[in-house]
Amino acid sequence: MQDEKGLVERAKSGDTQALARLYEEYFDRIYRYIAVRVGSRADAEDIAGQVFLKMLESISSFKWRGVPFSAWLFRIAHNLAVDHLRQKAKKGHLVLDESMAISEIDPAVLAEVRLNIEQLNTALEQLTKNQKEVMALRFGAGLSTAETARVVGKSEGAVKALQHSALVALRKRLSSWRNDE
Amino acid sequence: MSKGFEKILDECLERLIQGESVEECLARYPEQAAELEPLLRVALMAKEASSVEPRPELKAAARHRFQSAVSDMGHRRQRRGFALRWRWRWAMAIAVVLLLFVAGGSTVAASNDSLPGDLLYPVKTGVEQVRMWFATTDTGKAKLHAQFANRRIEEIIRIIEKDKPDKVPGLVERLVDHLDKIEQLVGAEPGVTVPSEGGAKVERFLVNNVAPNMLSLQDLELEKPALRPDLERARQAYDNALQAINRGGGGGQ
Repeated sequence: MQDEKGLVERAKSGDTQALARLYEEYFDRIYRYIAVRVGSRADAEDIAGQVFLKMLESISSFKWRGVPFSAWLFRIAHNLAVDHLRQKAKKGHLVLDESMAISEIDPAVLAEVRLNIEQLNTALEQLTKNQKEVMALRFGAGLSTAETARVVGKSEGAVKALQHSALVALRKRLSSWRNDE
Repeated sequence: MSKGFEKILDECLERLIQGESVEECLARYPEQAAELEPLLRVALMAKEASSVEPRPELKAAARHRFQSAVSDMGHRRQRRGFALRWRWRWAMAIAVVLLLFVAGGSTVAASNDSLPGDLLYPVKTGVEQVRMWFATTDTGKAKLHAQFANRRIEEIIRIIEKDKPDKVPGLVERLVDHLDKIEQLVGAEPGVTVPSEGGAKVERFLVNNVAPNMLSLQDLELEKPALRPDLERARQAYDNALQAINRGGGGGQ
């Protein structure tokens, strides 16, 4: 985004246009990140909305301390997603949501995609916390390695290693399905 | 797993996320293709599975909630800002009244002769600040700025006489600030008419009271060459203020 710093500064002082632009710029990416983390499309919609209300409450206290605004915003999303997962785990019904399937996809291949999603989500549950986080940020939010590193507070090298090990683990989980195919 | 491979994998993933195909990535690194391919296929699956979009109606509802919250925040800020400004003004006014009560009017009167560095100088500038807060019109504020500008010039002259040249730049800064404010309050762009009565009152004060002191400053420019840049700046600001008033039609007396 061009001149994000200027935009964020304007948003901090309550400029409604700047706040609206930040919302439009980030909403879809935040939504996809949360969808991957919580595995439910409906919950992701709800939580993504909360992320931006939280942003509104806290943006005046945001300070540039070497951390980009996007990292700050994704941390809010991370915290809300983790809270949500904790609550669901307490209630004992952490289930995968089939509504994650892409609605626009060709019906002829819908079954295959849904299967992929289910297996992917099941496989993601087997990953470590850090691996899951990196996968959600890289493939859900589409962040670069450098951006992901800033969000998770690790070096780029560590992120590269995490995404590598995550893909290896995923491959193992999905290999039986791939062989059948 | 070598770091070199992780770097290549990362580059391919970056390209994959940007929309490049698995085949294109593999063609770049034929030697690593066998190791890369299964991981890139898994990555592609993860990417496609993650490509969900929020339902338009729910996205619209979320946007509406956000816009309402932004609007509420704007109203709250306005109300809070207004309340804080007034609370601050009243707090300062009460503080000054209390100061007068405790220390007596003689303290404030004594502070009139104080100079920067003196114990009572903050009392002098504090009282000026409070007087400025309670001036309600542009002309009233401009007149106060003219009076305070005159005080600064007198202070500059006295402080040079006391041989404390280090205090001069700070005083010139304050003087220029007062003169700039006059320009903003009763000056105008060419062709724009300002209330001639207000501009004329301020100009009269400047010409009758400030101009003689400005002449003394000019004499000091010759006596104290080291202070010339600061004093020239003060003179320039004074000339600008006068010109701004006249440009706006305030010169008719």
